[in-house]
Amino acid sequence: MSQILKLISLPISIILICLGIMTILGGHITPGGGFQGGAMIASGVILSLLVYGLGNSPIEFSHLYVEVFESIGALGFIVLGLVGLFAGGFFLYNVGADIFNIVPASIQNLLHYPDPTNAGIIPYLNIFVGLKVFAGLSCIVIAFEGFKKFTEEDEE
Amino acid sequence: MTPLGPIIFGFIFGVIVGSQIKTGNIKDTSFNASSYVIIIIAALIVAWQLGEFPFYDFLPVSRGFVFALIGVLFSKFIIARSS
Repeated sequence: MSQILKLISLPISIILICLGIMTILGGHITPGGGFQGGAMIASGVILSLLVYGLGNSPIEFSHLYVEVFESIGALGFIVLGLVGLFAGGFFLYNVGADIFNIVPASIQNLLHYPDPTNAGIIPYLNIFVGLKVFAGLSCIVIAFEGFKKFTEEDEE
Repeated sequence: MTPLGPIIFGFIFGVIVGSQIKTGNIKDTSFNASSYVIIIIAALIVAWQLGEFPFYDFLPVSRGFVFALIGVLFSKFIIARSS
């Protein structure tokens, strides 16, 4: 790739990653959410991988990193779903921010926006979904780049 | 009361992603301190243009975006394994 692309793609990747994180955090009030934000973060990673190539890219994830964060995303989603099942009777039931009246007000209002209703577990679900999608999509592209490298080596 | 959620989770998410940014891998292009100053200025302009999105408060910048940037750069310089 050209020098201009190599100079500009890392700053753009960083800005894309920040935009994705912002989309995840506003998922319960604005369009977007966990999947969309995670895909935006992954797009920053993909841009960097395409321009610099696998092995030279400044943003590269190890197998352990992807495994850990994809597992945390999936486990968090399941745990929040089970909280709804045990507290409300349905899987992923929105039990609200004050589960069993034991959560302090400062934590209840952590992601509360000026609105009469509290979004409850939705922002936290978005965060876990975003983590999972970001790790999963990045992993797919890293795998494709690796397969391409193998194919090129075989042809040679 | 201003919600602390975007500050805390934006920073944590930024740290998670930024911990893997290693510019030492790049060949034939170098990023020095002045490059990061330009990145910060560009990102602050983006945050200002985004306005108070998505949480309504008195600050004219998107706090989720700004703290994600702080998290990314913090972990890029502190946690990332190579320069």
